Amino acid sequence: MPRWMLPLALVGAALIAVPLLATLLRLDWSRAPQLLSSPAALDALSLSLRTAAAATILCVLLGVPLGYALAQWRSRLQPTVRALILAPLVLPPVVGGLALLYAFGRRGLLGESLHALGIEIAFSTAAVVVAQTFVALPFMVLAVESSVGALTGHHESLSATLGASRTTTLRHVTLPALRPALITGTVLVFARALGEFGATLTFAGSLPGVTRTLPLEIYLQRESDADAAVALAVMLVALAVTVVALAYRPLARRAP
Amino acid sequence: MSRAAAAVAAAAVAVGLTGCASADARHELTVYAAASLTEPFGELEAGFEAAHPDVEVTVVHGGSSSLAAQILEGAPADVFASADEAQMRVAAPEISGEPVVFATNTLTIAVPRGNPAGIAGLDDLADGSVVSVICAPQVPCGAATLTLAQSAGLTLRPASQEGSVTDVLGKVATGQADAGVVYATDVLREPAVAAVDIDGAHAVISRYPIATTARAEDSALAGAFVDYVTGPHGRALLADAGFGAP
Amino acid sequence: MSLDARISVDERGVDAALTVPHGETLALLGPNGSGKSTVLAAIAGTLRPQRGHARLDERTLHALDRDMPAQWRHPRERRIGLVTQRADLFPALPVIDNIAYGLRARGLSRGHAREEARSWLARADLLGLADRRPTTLSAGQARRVAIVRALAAQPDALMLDEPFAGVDVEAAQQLRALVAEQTRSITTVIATHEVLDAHLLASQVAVLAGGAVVEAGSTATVLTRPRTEFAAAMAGRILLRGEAQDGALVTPDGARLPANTSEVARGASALVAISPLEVRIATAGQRADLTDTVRLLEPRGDLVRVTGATLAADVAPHQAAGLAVGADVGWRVTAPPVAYAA
Repeated sequence: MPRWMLPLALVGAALIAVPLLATLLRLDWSRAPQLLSSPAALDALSLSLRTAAAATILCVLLGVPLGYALAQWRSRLQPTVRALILAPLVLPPVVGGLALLYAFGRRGLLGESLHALGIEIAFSTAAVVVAQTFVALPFMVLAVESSVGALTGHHESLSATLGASRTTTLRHVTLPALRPALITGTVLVFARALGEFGATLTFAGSLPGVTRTLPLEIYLQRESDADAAVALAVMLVALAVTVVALAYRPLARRAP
Repeated sequence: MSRAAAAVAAAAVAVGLTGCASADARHELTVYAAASLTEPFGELEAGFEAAHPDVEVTVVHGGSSSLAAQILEGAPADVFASADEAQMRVAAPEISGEPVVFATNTLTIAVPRGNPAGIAGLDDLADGSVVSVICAPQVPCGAATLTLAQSAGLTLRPASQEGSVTDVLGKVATGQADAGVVYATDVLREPAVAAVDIDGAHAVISRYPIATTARAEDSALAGAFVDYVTGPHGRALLADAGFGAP
Repeated sequence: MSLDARISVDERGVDAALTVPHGETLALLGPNGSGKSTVLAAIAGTLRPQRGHARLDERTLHALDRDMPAQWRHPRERRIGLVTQRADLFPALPVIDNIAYGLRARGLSRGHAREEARSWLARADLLGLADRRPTTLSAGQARRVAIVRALAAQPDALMLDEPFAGVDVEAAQQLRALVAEQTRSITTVIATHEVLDAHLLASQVAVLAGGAVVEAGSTATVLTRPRTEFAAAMAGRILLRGEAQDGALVTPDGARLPANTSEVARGASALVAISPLEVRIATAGQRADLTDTVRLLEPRGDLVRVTGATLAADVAPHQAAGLAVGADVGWRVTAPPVAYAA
């Protein structure tokens, strides 16, 4: 690495580390236990963990086949469709929330049909999960897509020549090849779902215990009790850093 | 990248960061005002600038609580106009002088045009079958809503408690909600909604205080703006926008 | 079972036909890029060609010609083993389970399949690798395991794509022994660019050039009496065309090469395929069988190949000393080559 890059790297690290550290310094340690164990905080934490877990499961179920299909699809349309699927990565979350409203909201494209079926998504916990899945799914798709290498298809072909069914091939050849991506993707997706704010606020609203997740609670607490907001923020940061540190390693370093 | 190129890039970043601070002789005045004041303050800004040709007024709108928090953190506000006195008190350490109440507002129910759910009053919002949205109690409009409901002996059953009155208005305007409790003036600025009066709404009056901040660079100019808002010209503009007199 | 196939893949410029009698081994001989891998993949069914057919005895693997309804068997229903020059082993499974994979797919219980796999490994003298992960194997070991894995699935035919490429000399030796021993009774196609493989392992040869089989037949015939420049080049021989005269082949430009012409009528067109190893350079005072001009000098292992317009010779370096491109050279053949009918 050329020497001039080092200061830039340090500035980059500081840009991330200093605000996190500053949040920690703002924490009122004497009040923290009480603030974190308030019913509102516990409700928000529990809701966040449950919805993020549900969104993660959805992202695995939907994102793995999607990423895999995208990796194997040979078509002139592929780049366009791919860009569309990855759009939530660059979309402001509020825009994502609006888009979800236009699709699933009461007056949305599908909302009325869903309403006729007796399904109401808006302002429900399900809406939170949908919003989180919407913003997190591309992480899983990207992870899976980038790990479907040239060898995966080769091994699948060979598995067939050995007489194996598609399901056997999926279980013993494809999924093991995707394992590192699955781990990375799951962690990223969970972390992203946990931090989701804008789309949830726009699409799901904010009601204690139903749609008010930890980030929404922090946003609201900031209005009335900054200390409580800081305590919750520190908890969220700690949760995210722990999850990422425990499970996420860059794909390249896993390679045998 | 060569060392020279790095230096150029750094210089470009520096220029980009400071470029907006022009060095000409015009006076600048930054006003932080509650979101519900957006309409009248646009006209107040134009009127004040017309009276003071050498002054450039910038109005920053936001939720009062959020503006108060920003002022506490050192935001460059010269004047703060809050939607309630509680948030003015939050910002008190950075406020100079005594805040003056310059306008009042009452609550009303906003419904989508045509009132599809047939909302008739606040008691409809205590019915779980109606999708209603209110402000969270932590923000001024939510605190007022809570007081109003309590005085009417009602327990509201909202689908969502939003962080700002603008979010409540948005959810009603897009038809996501059947009804929302907002300020009377908000209904006037959103064509997609209509108002349903709340009986006894005048029992809970939101009072809007205005004050100059301690860090105002030109406290005389900031004071002049406060005087303008509370003066006859300002009062007339606020009345046009639906605000009550203090 | 006998294999009969015609494979057409337009985008790779392949249109090749080949047949392999029951239990025989065919060497599909061609330079890199001639389409060998494509032909093998299409027979195994991992690549779908545009046209043509493949049959094992009477069993159709695919039939894609326009005048018939298309038939296509999925590779898992073909019972054709395939070993490629890439990393074939499933990285998630230890060697033993790679071998057991095809047995499991055929319905054997896990324990039974492993037992069976163990005996296959023992037969190939690879039992020591049973519990190793594929990523810890050398290229040669991995290739041997891949071949045993294909065999363990008991295919009706075996496709080996350059099975000796990319491994060291000793590993190639072990692999050749394994293939020679294990494919004795199974219909096998070995794609290779090494004529040695054809000599050692195959009773049949098909020469692939530009995607088409230009010559096919028994190994001895194709490699010693080639009829095309491609086949001659693969066999490492120089093909001369001409007219049979008494004890000589006379080329169209009038050169006379001593040859055994007993098989062909006088005046008939005939071919001679001569190896550069059978050609010497006439020293001063020696009578040359043929005179020529040096076109190219290049090292060939310990020897030097001297290439002229008509012939070439592989000679010891000191014999080539003093020669330069453009110099005159006189060729002598160690024994008159056999001329055969064109």
